[in-house]
Amino acid sequence: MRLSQLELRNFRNLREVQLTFGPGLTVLFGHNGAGKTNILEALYFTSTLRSFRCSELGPLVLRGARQAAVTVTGRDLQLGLDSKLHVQINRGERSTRRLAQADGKTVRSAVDFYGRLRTIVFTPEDLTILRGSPGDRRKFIDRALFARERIHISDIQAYEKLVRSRNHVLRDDFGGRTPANREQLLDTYEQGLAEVGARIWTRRVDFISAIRNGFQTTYRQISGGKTAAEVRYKSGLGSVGADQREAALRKTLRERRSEDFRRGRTTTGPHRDDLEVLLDDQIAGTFASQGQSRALMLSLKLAELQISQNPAGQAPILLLDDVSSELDPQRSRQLFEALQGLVHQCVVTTTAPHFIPLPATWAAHHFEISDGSVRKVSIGDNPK
Amino acid sequence: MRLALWFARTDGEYIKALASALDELQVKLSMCSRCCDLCTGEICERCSDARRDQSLVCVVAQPQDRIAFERSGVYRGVYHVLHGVLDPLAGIGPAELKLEALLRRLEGDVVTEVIVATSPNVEGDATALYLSKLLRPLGVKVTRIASGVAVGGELEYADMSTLRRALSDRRSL
Repeated sequence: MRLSQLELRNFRNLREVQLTFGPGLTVLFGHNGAGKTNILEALYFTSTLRSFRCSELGPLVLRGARQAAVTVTGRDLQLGLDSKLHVQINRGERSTRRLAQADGKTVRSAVDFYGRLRTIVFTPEDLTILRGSPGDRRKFIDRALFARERIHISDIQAYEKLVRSRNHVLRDDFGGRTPANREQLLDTYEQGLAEVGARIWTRRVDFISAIRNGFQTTYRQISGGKTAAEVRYKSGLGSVGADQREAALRKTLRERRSEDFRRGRTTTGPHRDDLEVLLDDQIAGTFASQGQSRALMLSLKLAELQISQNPAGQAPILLLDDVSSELDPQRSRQLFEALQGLVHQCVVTTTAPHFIPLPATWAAHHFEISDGSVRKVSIGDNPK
Repeated sequence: MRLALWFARTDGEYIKALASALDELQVKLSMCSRCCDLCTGEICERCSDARRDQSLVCVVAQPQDRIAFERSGVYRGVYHVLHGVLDPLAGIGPAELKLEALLRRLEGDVVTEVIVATSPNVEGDATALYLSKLLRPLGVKVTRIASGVAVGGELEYADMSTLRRALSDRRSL
């Protein structure tokens, strides 16, 4: 969907706000705490029904208000129709609930709503993907896959349940009883794990090989090309051909049984795999500088964006939170040069507009955010 | 509370009838010694029905699943009710299911096929897989009910997991 308008009511600190978007770059500038990131958050929320900042919905509603609402108007290029997405967040006594509507119709399942507005977000917190645990990196791959293949969600859910079930069997967690046929039970869960696990494994490997080229090219563009970046999927089972994965998983689960029994958990499978990001053959999480890490993460996200174009040639909307503060002016310029060819619409936040280098051929709109209100400014009239 | 208020408003005869029915439920309802379904005697109507095919056993998780099959009127074999599905997360292992009774039924040569009719979800699939591992060595044919696109439904509205299952379980025409 191409974004044309965003309306917010009682969303975070934004009481009543309306923004219009054109093609190219939208720059949101203002002081710290003015509410710039809240606008990105609202767009991301309309895309995924979750926030990239917190797991609960409560904080999204303006303090003292009972209800927040986000309305996004855009054009579905594939269908050639205008489309309206509306999400309400209602604060109740016990819990906060959301109600999502697409073109006036209530959409109950989050999976069905997910990705109608497609966004890719980059925030300073994304560095945890490089520096955090393998789980953070798996989450990055899986989120990207959810947006492409929604069936991945149900596979991940089923897989997690199977892992927990097998762990319970390993620990004889049946309220003190030991099931007579534990080996057969383990056989059962291992067969399920291998089947679903192989599908997850293959999707992740395919995703990494699809983004690898774009990742390396984009990293070269942003960094100016002195160091070589690499990305690969690291499975505990090593490199296994796609049609061998189910059998290999099953065999390894079987072999690890006594080891897993001692530890009381399942120690092999896609839930233990990792995404390796390397810079000159060194693990980026421990080796790369702050600026290099920033550039690597941006390259991963931009590579994801490149392969996310749908058949109608629509790329997701790129949301960049405070990106220029982390890159030196040269890298920042190279980033925005690279973006021009990849992105149709990009929304960035910054403390001052001059931090964002405007590429000559890209249209740009500026909004100043202060104390929860938004003002459109023409940057020619208002040099800062 | 809603139930209590409704009782308070309802006619006394009806309440008395209901109370004695509930009382009888406790006294009379038992479990069929063969198929473990709920019934009022030693053996349920289906297990004692000579017109039914006693060589065909349909394994279901709950009595309500059996009732659903009966309502459809398409099945003429007998049943076996497990009273649950395998779910280690809820502390339910093989010992919690009515498996011994099922194994006893297979001791004779009467039963030739066991149809596993558990729901197509993680627990139901695991139960089906486990049953096949348990029963196949006994020389009985073990089958699983098909799953896929709902009959009379529209293909375009089927969800992805259903479509995947429908494709992987396709059969030749």
